[in-house]
Amino acid sequence: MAERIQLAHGSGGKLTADLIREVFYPSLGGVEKFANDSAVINLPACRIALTIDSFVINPIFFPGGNIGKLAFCGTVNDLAAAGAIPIALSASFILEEGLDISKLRLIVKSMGEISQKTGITVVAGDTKVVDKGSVDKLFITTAGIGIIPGGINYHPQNIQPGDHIIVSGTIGDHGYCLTALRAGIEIKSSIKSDCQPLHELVAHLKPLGCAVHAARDATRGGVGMVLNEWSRQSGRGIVVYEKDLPIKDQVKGGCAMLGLEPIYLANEGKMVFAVDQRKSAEALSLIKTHKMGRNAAVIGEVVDTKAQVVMETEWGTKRFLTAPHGEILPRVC
Amino acid sequence: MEVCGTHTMAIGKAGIRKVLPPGLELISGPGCPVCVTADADIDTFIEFAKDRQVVLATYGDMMHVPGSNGSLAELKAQGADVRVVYSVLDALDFARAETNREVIFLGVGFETTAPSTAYAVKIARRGGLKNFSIYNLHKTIPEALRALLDDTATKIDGFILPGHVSIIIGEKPYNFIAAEYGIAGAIAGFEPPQVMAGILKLVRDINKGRPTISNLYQKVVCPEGNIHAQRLLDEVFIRTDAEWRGLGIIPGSGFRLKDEYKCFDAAVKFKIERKAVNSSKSCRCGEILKGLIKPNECPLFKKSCTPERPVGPCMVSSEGTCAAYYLYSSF
Repeated sequence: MAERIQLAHGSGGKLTADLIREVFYPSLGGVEKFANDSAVINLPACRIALTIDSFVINPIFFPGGNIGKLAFCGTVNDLAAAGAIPIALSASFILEEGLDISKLRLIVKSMGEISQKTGITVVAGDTKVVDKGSVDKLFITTAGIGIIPGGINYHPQNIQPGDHIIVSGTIGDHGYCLTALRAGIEIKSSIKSDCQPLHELVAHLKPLGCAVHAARDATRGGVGMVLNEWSRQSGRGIVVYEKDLPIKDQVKGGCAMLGLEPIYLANEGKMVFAVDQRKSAEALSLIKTHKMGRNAAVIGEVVDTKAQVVMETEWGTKRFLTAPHGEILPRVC
Repeated sequence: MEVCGTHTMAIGKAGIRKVLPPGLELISGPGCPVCVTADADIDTFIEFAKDRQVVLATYGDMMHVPGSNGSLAELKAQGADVRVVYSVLDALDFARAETNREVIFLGVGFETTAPSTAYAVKIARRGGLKNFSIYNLHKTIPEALRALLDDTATKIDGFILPGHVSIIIGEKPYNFIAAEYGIAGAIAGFEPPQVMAGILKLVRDINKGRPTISNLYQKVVCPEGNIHAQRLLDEVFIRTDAEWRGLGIIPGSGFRLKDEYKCFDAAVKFKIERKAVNSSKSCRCGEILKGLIKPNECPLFKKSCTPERPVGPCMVSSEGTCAAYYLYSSF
């Protein structure tokens, strides 16, 4: 029978210690190294980026990743969006009584693997167990700190008319992949979640300094949401060119079938940038030199109108690209 | 008039209205299943969902339709078991897996989705499922078109006919539009050039004074439709009158389960009384569905009625005329 999480695993006693030693330490060695109530890190005098995010995704395993990899990359990408070099992460796990420990092992292992690959250590952790039904299998919260290099200042308020909007790759892959899974639709497709850490890709733009005005990873609400937020925060208009949006054919076709719009679907490995137009070509080629940025494209520009996002369609017409409304629900015919 | 909600959205998304010459106006018809669901039916299925023994399975965009006292989404937040499905077969799976619960499937949609509901009922009967039933709100398009044409207030010169519905019913059920009413119709696909081709065909027909019913979506719409699906409908359902929001009772525009399938009718099984409801007086969904007014002529539009807090179903569904106008039209 599968080894399962019991309430006693969260009691703080021997079972808790065993769980931490057997499941977490082997993959997340940093936590063991710092085994104390707080991890203490020496940093040079600099600007620090700090972020936190919770991951409550269903299903917890999906093509291209799992909730652990997602929790790691999500926080790394939030730091990267501030232009920061990620230094360390902390992770908190809320486990449902009855969770299969072998699954937890796989999740923690994938966090360990990506930690090794990126050199970003998880230095602090926490585990709680709650009654069956109180959470859906497990929730993970990760927080991270990073150092912002001199000359970097990414913020929507820097956005200026004329700025080009660049997206680092194809959009909607993660959202499409998960929606199809949740809907229980057996779509034969090679689309995987794009879950990946983007800090190196963002670091490629460091030579451009302040010419990069803003960056954001297009998670919930997708690129459509990022652009609407930027428009509101900067008080500027943004025009998007539909024909330039990088979308995989399978995602486009599948979305048409499911009644979804790729521009509103979540990504977990795509960054959106607003770049001074004089440096836009250079930025695009720098992004494209990174393996995660090969499909990057300029998808729009900032204009001197009131705050609104307008889509120029493939047919030469224009329409508003509004912020997505509430949860994305399929249509009936 | 484009009858189908998917056409309404395609037109809005591609900005087609903005490129049409003066004198050519597109009005949006009653082809969004959510929008034409009567208030009394909304209240009835919400009543079903309140029963803690019930799993209510529904297509997604019914979740936010407001009834007299809240929506399914609000009820779900209070603990009701309401599940969004892409297929009625998912609801069958729930019933098989949870035999101690009653699974009610909300049969909403036109001829497009009605055959799959019929199929599920047939499978349920064959498998002897005792805990599965449907609340049947399926409706038919040709009868609604006749009702619109009979209404002297409407001013329609041609119909862009629904592509998906036509896949099931074929071309023939529309012939009366040209033959009896002298109005042109074109079955069209959903890509912007296909919609434009439909408009062009209608304009040519009208200019020639020779209205016809043409099929410009032959890639998927056969003249005779999907015979298998039609047989399924005939096997499981009989035609009945149905109430449409805004259009009232339309003769022969609904489906009722045949007697041998009656045990799968949630309305019969649970004896929940369907009470007449007075729709919000200021909500003008009814006139919008007939194409008599534009959404922005409704006093609630963009004020108390928005996609976040819809008053009428036309604002709820992503295919609703009001939602399409809200999202796309102000340009």
